[in-house]
This record gives sequence, C-alpha cells and structure tokens, in this order.
Amino acid sequence: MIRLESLQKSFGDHQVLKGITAVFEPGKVNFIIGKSGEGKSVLARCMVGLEEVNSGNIFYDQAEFTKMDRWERKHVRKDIGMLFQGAALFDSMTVEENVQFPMKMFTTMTAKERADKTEEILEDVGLIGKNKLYPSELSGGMKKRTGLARAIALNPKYLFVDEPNSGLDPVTSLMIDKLVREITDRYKMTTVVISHDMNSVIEISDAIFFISKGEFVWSGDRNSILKVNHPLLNDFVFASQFMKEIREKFR
Amino acid sequence: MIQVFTKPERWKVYPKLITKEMDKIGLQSVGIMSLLVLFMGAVVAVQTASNIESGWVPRWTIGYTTRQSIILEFSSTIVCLIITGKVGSNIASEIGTMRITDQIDALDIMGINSASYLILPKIIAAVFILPFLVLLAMFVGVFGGGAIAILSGVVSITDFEAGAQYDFRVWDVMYSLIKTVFFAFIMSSVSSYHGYYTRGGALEVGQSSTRAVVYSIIIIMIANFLLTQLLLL
Repeated sequence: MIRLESLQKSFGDHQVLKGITAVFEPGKVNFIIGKSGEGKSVLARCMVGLEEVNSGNIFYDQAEFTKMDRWERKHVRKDIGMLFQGAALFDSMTVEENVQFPMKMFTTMTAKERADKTEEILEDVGLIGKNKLYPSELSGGMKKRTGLARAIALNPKYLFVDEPNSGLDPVTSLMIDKLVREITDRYKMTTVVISHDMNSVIEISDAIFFISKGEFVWSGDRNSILKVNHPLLNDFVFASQFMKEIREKFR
Repeated sequence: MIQVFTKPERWKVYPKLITKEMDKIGLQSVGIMSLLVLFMGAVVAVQTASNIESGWVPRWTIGYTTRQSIILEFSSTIVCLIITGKVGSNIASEIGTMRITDQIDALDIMGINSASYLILPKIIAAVFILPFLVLLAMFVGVFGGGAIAILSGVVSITDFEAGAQYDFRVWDVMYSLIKTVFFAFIMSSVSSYHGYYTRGGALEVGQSSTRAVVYSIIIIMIANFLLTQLLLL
C-alpha cells in the first residue's frame, strides 16, 4: 500500500502539487489521470523520490519515505519498479543485460540463477529469443516490455508505470495494458499508472484518481467515471467525439 | 562530487566498468595521440633546426630541445588537451544522453548511486591510464619526431642522439606524469559533471558536450601553470 498525505511541491513560486492525499491499495492497478501539465509526472517523481516534496508524507506500507535519508530509502527503493515513458533502457546493454542489471546489483544470485530468472521474466513479457538484442534494435512495444521486465526483475512490491502507451499503436497498447494487469495480479503489487489514455483506464484500472491543477479533484473506479457528473472530469474523459458517443450509449 | 566518492552499492561490478572505461579513454586514443605527437616531435625538431643558424650553437641542441619540449610540455599538456577534445566530449554526451532519456533516473529509482556508478569508473580509469598514454607519447614524440627529422636531413643521427641524452633528468618525466594525473582528474570530472547535470533534449546534450571541453581546457591550462610553479620552481 502507498499512502500520500497532503503532498505539496513547488518550483519557485509555482505550486505544482497542492495537498495531494490518496491511498493506493495493493493488488490493484491505480490510475492517476489528468491533462498535461497538471502535475501527474511531478507527483510520480515525488513518490519515487526523484523530487523532494515541500511538505506532506509518503508512506510505503508503514515506512515513512519522506522522512528517510538516502541510505534508508535504498531499502524501500529495492521494492520499487518503474517503467518510464521512453522505457529508459541502458543503451549499452542487451535486453538480457538490462533485465539482469538489478539482480547483479542487489542480489547474490549466480549467473545460472540470473539467466533462469531472466528467461522466466522474458517469457512473462513475451520477449523470448530477444535476449541478445540491443535497445536500438527493438520496436517501441518491445522496449516497453523490456522496461517492464527490468522493473519486475526483483519482484517489487510497488510498480510505477509512466505513460505506458505513448507512441504505441492500439494493439500494442492493449498488449502492454494487459501485461501490467497480469503482472499486478500475479505478484500482488501496488501498481500506479500515470496516463491520459482513457482506453487503458477503462481496460485495466481498479481505482482512478483525477488530478487537476495539482489536486485530486475526483477519485473512483472505471464504472463510476463514465457516470459521474463532474465538469472538469467530463471535459477530460469525454474530450473526443468517440467518448461522447460512448457516454450517450451508456446513458 | 561527494556522491561520486561515497561507498558504491557493489564494488564487484566496478573492475569491469573501469576496464571498459580504460579501453574507451586510453586504448582507443592511442592511434590519434601517436600520430599527433609524432608530427609534433618532428615539427619541434625542424623548427629548432631552422632557428639554429649560429655556428656557436651545437647541432645536438635539436635533440635536446625536442626531448625537453616533448617531455615537459607536449606529452602531458597537449596530449591531455587532445584527449579532452576526444574523450571529454564523449563522456559529457554519453552521460547527458543518459540523463535526458531517464536512464539516470532509472538507476536512482533502483537505489543505485548513479553519480558513483557512472562517474567514478571514468575518473579512476582516466587517472590510471593517461600517465601510460603520456609515457608512450614521450617515446613516440622524441624518437618518432627525431626519426623524421633525421630522415629529412635536418639533423644527423649522432647529433640528435647526443642531444636527446644530454642532461636527462628523471624528475622531468615525473613532473610530466604528476601533471597528467591532475589533468586526467580534471578532464574526467568536469566532463562528467556537465553531462550529469544536462537538462532538456538533444540540443542541450550538444551544449553540455561543448561546455565540458571548454571548461576542462581552461581548468587544465590554469592547473598547468599552478603545477609548473609548484613543481619546477
């Protein structure tokens, strides 16, 4: 479980997060949605410790992340996996080496054990036989799957996924969505997805948090998001003609 | 900088990283460095010869001047400047690209000290391998340069050999190597710093790379003056 209490973050005079409070349950796919520039990515960066909050608390289960120093955070960070928008694969390493990297750094596994575990994970994400390819030789979807494989290499308790479908075709997007869902269910992770892709939200979300101007102005699930009468949320969710038609049918 | 020298997560992975960096920084620069220093030696020999018109100045001065110029200044300072142009920009752009493509954030999220993991091997490799490169530069510069001067008829082999051996002091070589260690540290750390703090996109990576080379060269030249004052006077 991840718990946020009154998170505030400013860059100079510009306050980006204005008292975010939320609970992300384990075993669930939690979506943070919102328009570009509303604070989604800053919130995610604060949650994983890439940015320091000005005030408020972040709890990973009982551990108060915001109060920890760098060394204490290392222990929590080993339980965090993150898939970046651009996958952030290490260019100089092959698919296999990327996946094995966290194992090499943090475990005492033998080369054989690492290889077996890598095969297992690559099978999970559908990348069997791609072990020796470099990131430059991979398609966008394969990069995301490799990134996901690396993120789950140490069986993390918390998984962050930043814009999983950006730059992907609808079929590959769906494949990535399902993969996130499967992995969350299998490993009982607390998954937090940052996205503005409503297809993904409807497809795999358990809980949804809508951020606007640095605040969570609505939270609920995928059934209620289509019914709710919230002007800001409706503007976002039913921005496209296609979604407007769905709303009409839903009504 | 403090983060770079804090205890790494796993020392075991560092020897491989350092070896890889030594190859990139040192071995892959041997060719270009040898070529440049060879002609530098030859030019010093030819220029010295062309400036010795007086019969009072012995011809072996050509060998002596070539050796001293190469050992004291060209092998360390000029070679380090060449390496800065080649390797410094490479270090800054490599780390800068990692920064803008979130690879450094990925390391940080894993709980890895990214500054130490990425920068420390480069500093250790540069400080270790560049003195060897400079020793090679001394050899190639003096003997290769001399050989070209002899073959082009500027000086006889006997005169050049006599000059190259005249009043040889091991301290001169040591002085040059000490300077190299400082220059290697400056080059690798300044370039890494500019790469690590890159923000933005491809354009900013290019700018970081240019800044890395410019600042490294300026600091190396200032350090050169200070070290020369300190070590030779």
